[in-house]
Amino acid sequence: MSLYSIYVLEYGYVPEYHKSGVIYGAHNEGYVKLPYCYAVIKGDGWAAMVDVGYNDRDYGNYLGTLFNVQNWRGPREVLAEIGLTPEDINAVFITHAHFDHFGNVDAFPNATFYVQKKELQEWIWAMSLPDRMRWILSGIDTADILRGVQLARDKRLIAVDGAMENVFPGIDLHVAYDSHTFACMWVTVRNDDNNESQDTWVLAGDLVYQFENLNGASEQLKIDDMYLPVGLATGSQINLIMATEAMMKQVGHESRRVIPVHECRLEQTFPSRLSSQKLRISEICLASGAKSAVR
Amino acid sequence: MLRINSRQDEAPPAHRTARQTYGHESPAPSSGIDGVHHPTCSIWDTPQESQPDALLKSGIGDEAIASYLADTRPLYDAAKRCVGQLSGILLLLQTDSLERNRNDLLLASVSRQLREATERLGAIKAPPTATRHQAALADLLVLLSRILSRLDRLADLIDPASPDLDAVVDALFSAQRSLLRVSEPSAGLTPVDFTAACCNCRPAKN
Repeated sequence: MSLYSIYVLEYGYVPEYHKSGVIYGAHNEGYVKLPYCYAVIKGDGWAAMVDVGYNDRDYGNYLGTLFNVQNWRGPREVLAEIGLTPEDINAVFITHAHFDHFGNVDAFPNATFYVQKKELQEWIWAMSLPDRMRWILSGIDTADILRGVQLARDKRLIAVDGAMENVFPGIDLHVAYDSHTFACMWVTVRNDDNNESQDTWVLAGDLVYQFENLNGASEQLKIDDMYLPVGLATGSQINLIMATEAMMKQVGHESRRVIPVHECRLEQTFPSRLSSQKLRISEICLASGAKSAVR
Repeated sequence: MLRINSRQDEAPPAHRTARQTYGHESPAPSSGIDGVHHPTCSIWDTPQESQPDALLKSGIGDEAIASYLADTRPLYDAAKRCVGQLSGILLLLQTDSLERNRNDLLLASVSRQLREATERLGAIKAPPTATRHQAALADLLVLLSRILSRLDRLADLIDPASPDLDAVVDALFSAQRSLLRVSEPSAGLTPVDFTAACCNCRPAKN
């Protein structure tokens, strides 16, 4: 029995993104397509998302233009491809506080948001540092922190302190401190709801961008099988590697079960289709009795 | 407790090092501070993209405006960080994540940043076309100082339904709107800063 269907839904993409931004050390290796996606966990009458992307209005539009994000579509349009509306989303797991993950909370009026306490504390601390250390704040939009205040007042923001098992049946939250960000979460779905699950999926957030981070192939290093950290870390590359190992252990080192949301080749591994807006819909797994949204 | 800066009025981090997190035995950092580059390390020498020469090259053709924006960028960033810290204090308060010692240091940090930014902004002579920008930035700093003063009595802001909290949050949203009005992304006055990041965060080629 599988509790949940899991989908990765593209809502925009950067056609040519520096490969070195995706894979540590891949200097002068050109560009890759970088999709921006929603990860959705859909159960029986219940749905959750991993991150909410960014809003294309106001300053988000400027950022999207700056990064050459193409074909941005809002959550209403994108979620409709799997029969959901933003109002249907009950929970959102914010893996980290970068603008493209925490930037569109207003679009989900019925969701409760889960974010690591330390992720909030450390970003706020970082803002107290002198201007010359502002590198640390890259990717943070203070407006997102302000919107978080409103969520907290409405009792819709839960500050999670470390790992949290069974936040919903079969769903666990884990954290990699000082990695991509100060306290970057990943979401583990034990889809058979067993503690010793044989059907585990990991939604990796930005701890893993693409397949190469799991099964690294470095042209320059002549290496074709090792973990390669993502290209951006506020914290430590060591911690990224250790987090990758922890995720891989959870799935019995079956790398296809660790889902990199920024991967542009998911259709090579999972059933997928293009929407009418030419955005990819990938079906990672199906709940028992659920109908496919891609076939 | 890990400290990466010796200033007394900056809030302490609550980092966990690789060793603490995973039991990994990493070599001792050369700085002698666990896992962090020494404050004098050249890694902190971030690109100075807001300097007048760079701004002139970026297309801001008026030397006086370029110089004004270069002088103003750190003050804009201070205002931005103050919006974030003041919002953050409320966020931590509402999620029961605020630590007393940390809070005092955060408030002291905001106070210092606002004081320094206000003094430095007053010392800048804006060219005529930038006087309204300068005035708007000054107004923003005044607004933030007022908000800071409202946070002296945090106990009044714990209740999510508190009218006092309403007023502070409304003022912060007003400050955020003001921040957007005085933004000039082409000159580095940007609400979300990528200009100082490594190549990984730069925009893809267009």
